[in-house]
Amino acid sequence: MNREINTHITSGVVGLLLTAVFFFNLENISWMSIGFPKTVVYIMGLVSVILIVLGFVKPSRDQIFNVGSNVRWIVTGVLFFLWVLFMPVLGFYVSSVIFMTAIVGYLARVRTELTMRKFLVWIPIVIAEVTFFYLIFTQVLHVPLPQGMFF
Amino acid sequence: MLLETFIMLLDPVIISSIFAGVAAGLFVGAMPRLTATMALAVLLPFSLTLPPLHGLVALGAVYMGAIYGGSFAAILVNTPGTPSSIATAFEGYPMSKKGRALEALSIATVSSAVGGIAGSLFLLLLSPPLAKLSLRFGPAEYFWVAILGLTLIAGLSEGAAIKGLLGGAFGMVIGTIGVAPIGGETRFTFGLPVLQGGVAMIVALIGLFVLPELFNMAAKGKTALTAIDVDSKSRSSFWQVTKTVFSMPGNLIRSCIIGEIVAIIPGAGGNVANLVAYNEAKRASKHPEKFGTGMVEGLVATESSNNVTVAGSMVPLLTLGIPGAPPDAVILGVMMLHGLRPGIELFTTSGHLTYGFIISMGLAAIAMVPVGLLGGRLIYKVIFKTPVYFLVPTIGMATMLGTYAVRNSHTDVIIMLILGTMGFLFKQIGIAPAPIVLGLILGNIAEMGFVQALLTGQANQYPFLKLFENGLSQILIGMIVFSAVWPYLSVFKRRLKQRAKYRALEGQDE
Repeated sequence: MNREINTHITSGVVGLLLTAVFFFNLENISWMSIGFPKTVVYIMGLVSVILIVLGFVKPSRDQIFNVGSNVRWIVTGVLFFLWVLFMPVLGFYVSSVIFMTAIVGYLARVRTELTMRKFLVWIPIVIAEVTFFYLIFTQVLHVPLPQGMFF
Repeated sequence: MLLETFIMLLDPVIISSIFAGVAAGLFVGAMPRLTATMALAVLLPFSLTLPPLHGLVALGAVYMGAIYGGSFAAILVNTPGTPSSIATAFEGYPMSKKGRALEALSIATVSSAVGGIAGSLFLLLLSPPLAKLSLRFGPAEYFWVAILGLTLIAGLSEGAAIKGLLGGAFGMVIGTIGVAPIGGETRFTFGLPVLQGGVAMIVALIGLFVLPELFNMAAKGKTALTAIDVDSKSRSSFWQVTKTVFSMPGNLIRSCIIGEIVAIIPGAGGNVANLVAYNEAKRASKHPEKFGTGMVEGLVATESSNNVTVAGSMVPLLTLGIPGAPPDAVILGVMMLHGLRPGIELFTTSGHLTYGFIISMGLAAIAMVPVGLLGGRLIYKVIFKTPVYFLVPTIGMATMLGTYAVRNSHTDVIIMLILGTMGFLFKQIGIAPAPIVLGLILGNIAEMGFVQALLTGQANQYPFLKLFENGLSQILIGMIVFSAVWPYLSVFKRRLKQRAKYRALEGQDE
């Protein structure tokens, strides 16, 4: 994915798609409620068109997704989503220990070889971190964290 | 009132909040890739559990500590911890290479403290008279002020004004999801009842500011950082360092004034101030040729100017509601959550709170000296020993917990992740997260102004003309047009200059 694209056109197209999403959801309600959002949606559409025109008149060549390994950020992102989705099922504590360990292991393997010994060091650190946050939120800040099948 | 407020701040809980905030900010700011905005966004939910004054004081201290913390990485690793310390690396790192790392850190600490105090004084002196001006503002003016804030940030922050405007408009639309503030009907819920309550500003702010950075860190996949060895024998006494810093009053005063002027311009924060102040220090120096080899003057200029911007950039924020820099957007978000609206009321009805916040930033600047000199090295050792593969999930967990704690809502965490991922993808095509967040925050002010102005204009044949009638509105519109056109004008001017240069060169060749 490390390649150059015309980001004016891309952002314009993205802007138009977003405009379409909101435009087709403009409801027929009083102007006091819809007047401002309608105006902003129109402006968003106009700015998107300007970007597309600009992209043709003065093409911009920018590198996108050149931050490093694309697979790594995607996998990390997926693990974050799974972490959150499993929170109501497994509970905050259990899901956090599982997914934190998974992310630590996944990101660490870039620079070091994964061994059982390393996991035996990391898991207690992860448990300590999660316990620390869990106690701060539940006992000090009195935030009831999601509970699942365990606790 | 000021004395009363000062005494109020001597409460042990507030003093502890200041020290803890500075230490937390220093910790995050010292880590390359983690910005002051991110520090504020991650720690913001914790501040919401505190009373308004305590929460704002803690966030102000985090902001101050984070900007100062950026100098640690600049001096020891030659990588600015935050964009506000770019020029610090020019002189700080060469000093470290010469075995003067501790001296450089101490100079950065004292200069940052001086800058922080100066910024608070500027804020204290400039805000009340400017806030009085806001009394002349009606709904239409507030609408235009919000639009002005957006155009200024869009134009100045990333150099891609139109993409910034698109981001700002998108932020404004996200802000309109849910119940209308005046009409009371729901908009853009897409049939999902969970969206009736709208997208909480804090949730969007955390997602858009923190998640893209986490994805960046994961993609880069670096392990711990390697710093230059600090020779503890090279330590200079605190008084010696203070004497050195104050031995160049002209440099200090000039840098502080530059910092304040840059800070007041929305969108241009410490990242611009430190470079301008460094450049001016070099121009004014008797030995400009020695810059880049470890000149104390350069270090004093950059570190004092960038810390002035912390409190200094809050002048437009507290008076008109225009965030001077992205971290100020977080502060504005917190203020609005506590029901505080920028303007004269902040200095009258909520005077104790506002003045308390301003003075506390001066106290945070003073707190940087003991925290930086005594705890700085310890914090830095922890940072160097913390591998990135632990940092990413740890910050991720703090982010999720913080988002959840805002409304005890699991849906909010999912929204935060979705917006954060969108923010990362948008960043790839040149749409920065800052204008989106600002659109979200300023959208509320703009919508209220827009609808109220049209309501007052209902007697007219064309109610929308109410937005353009007032002289102050027209001045603001002029400023908006100027700020929108300015980036293109400056590019055009630069091109003309370049063309003239080429022509002159061609003439010489012939």
